[in-house]
Amino acid sequence: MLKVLLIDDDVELCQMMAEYLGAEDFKMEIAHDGEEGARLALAGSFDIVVLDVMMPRLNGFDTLRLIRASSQLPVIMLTAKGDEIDRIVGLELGADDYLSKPFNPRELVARLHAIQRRVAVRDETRKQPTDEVLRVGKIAIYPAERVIEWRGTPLEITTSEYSLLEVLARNAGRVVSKADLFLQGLGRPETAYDRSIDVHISNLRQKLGTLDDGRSPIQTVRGTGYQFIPT
Amino acid sequence: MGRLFWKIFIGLSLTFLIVSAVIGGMVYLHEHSAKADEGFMHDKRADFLVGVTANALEYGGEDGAKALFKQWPERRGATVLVVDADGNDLIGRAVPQGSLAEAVDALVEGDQAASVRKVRTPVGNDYILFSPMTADVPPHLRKGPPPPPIFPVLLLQAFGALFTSFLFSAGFAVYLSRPIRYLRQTSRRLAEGHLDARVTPLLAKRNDEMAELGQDFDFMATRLQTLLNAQRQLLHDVSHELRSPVARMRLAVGLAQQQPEKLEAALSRIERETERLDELLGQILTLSRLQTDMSQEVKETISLNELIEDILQDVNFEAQAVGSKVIFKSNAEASVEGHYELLHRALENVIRNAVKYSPEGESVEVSLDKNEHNLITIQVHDHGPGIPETELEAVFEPFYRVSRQHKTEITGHGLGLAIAKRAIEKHRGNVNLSNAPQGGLIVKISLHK
Repeated sequence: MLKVLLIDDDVELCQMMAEYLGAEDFKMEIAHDGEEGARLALAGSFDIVVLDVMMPRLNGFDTLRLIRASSQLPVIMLTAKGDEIDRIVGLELGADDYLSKPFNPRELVARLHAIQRRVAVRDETRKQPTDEVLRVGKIAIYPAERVIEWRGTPLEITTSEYSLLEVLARNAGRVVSKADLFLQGLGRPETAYDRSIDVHISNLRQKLGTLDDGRSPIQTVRGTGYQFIPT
Repeated sequence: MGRLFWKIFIGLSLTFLIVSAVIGGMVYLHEHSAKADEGFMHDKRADFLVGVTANALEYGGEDGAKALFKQWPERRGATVLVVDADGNDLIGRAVPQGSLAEAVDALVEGDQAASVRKVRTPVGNDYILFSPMTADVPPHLRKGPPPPPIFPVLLLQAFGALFTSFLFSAGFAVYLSRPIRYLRQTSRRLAEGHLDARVTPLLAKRNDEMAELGQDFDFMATRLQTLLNAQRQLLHDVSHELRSPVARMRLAVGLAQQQPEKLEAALSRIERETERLDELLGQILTLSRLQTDMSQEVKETISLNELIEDILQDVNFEAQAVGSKVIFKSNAEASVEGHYELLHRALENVIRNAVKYSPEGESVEVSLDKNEHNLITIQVHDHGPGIPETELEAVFEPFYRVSRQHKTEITGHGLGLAIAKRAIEKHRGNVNLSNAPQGGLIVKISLHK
């Protein structure tokens, strides 16, 4: 059963979400402000955090910063509809996904399941440790630990970033379309005006740095997708 | 360089050229006419007249000459001066010294002999005879120094003047047109949405009407920026406020689909949210109406006593449910000219707030006073928690909520006081908040009759 921490200042909305998600077999816990939410997220054994951006005092972004300072726990942000800046800021700060509010609760469930599958894969690979190491160019991927080493040092990356980089690395040298990245990396289909992949890739590029010739190891193929350079 | 530059430049240059041409011409003419009393006549007529006078003098002596002058009709250009060794005229006429000197020169040099003569009278006195030049004599008859050559000195001067006037015109045109160009650039940037564009830094060195215009422009820009930012903030807040009830409605729909047995609860939840939305929209519309010009709308005489009684009927009905009560004390009949709906909303918001924040069973006191200066004071005193002193002003901002621990049963959008304040200000009154010493909030509304 997936343990979800919901951080939102709207008390009534929280109660209804708890009721809805509870019926979908999620184990819910609720926090009404950012400080309490971050404390619970870091202390408790949650699988996923659903975090509202607009909150008094500590807002969603600051809460996310607090969480990301010491944890790579998957986080879904609830952003304002039509506020693209909010989405991008959230993703840049390390959110795994976002959903604009007001949202269809079924959509939230779908996003939660997508992350649940990733977590399940992780647990699965942890249970049966293999010595499999995928080496492509300067990176080494340890699927068992979900760790990626770049030039010999492990990268600090979120689950979404890990999944995307793994997909790209397994297809090194080939162009991977955005639609495939959404499905294989984020576990959900692409939606309209969705910039998630671009922002995650941009985060990855920052963390990876450049190749010896100054290029980024992840190249954009205009209109098609992205490509990992296996050198 | 814009068109204005060229207009000022060409206009000024032309003015300079015309003015300098006129002044130069006048100076030239003046210089030459000033020489009019220098020189002497040397045409045939002068030769003849001088000859006649010389004969009279030579043979008739001074008396002969004087006799001749008596018959001589004095006419223009026909004067013959008879000057003795002391420089005085025989019959006491004025002698232009310049003309005399030239006549003497002519005698010494020996030319013009016919028009200047030296005569010795029978008694042995020497006289010099000549016809002096006068101002109205045409130049071709004059004997004088030749006019100064036009080339090349005058041409050089003209070029110098032309160059200086161009230089000065260009400088002046730049001086005038540059601030206008800056203003134009800045207003364009402003129009493109760069609300922080200001012109004063570009005109920093000036201290004239242009600089003042720039300051006024910047004042306008600052005002626009504040207004637009306030509007943006309001829109942002409104959309956020609208989002919450809609999010709850979508969840209620989701719950009803997920668990059909909870349909009843979901429906009543949706109904409640719809009412909230409706109320919120009403408040937002009132607020936006208050921000527009209302001078065109009809005013009427409103009895404040009746208005408050009206509101209390509604409010008391709801207050009874929680055991509260609103008490109204009035020591005067007061009425104002104004908009009924706005005043109603303002007072209703304030009184409802008071009831909402009062503990159950406590009463709210509303009082109405009028002093001898026709100043009407309405006080609403509740027994709730009050508002922190630092937030007493901020609560008038739309969507502001006091930062106390959230009490789920208190709902609202933070628009009530914002509307009340603006509505009262439209009636040239004001709203004041203070915390009562014995606890609770006092809202004081002042209005003029």
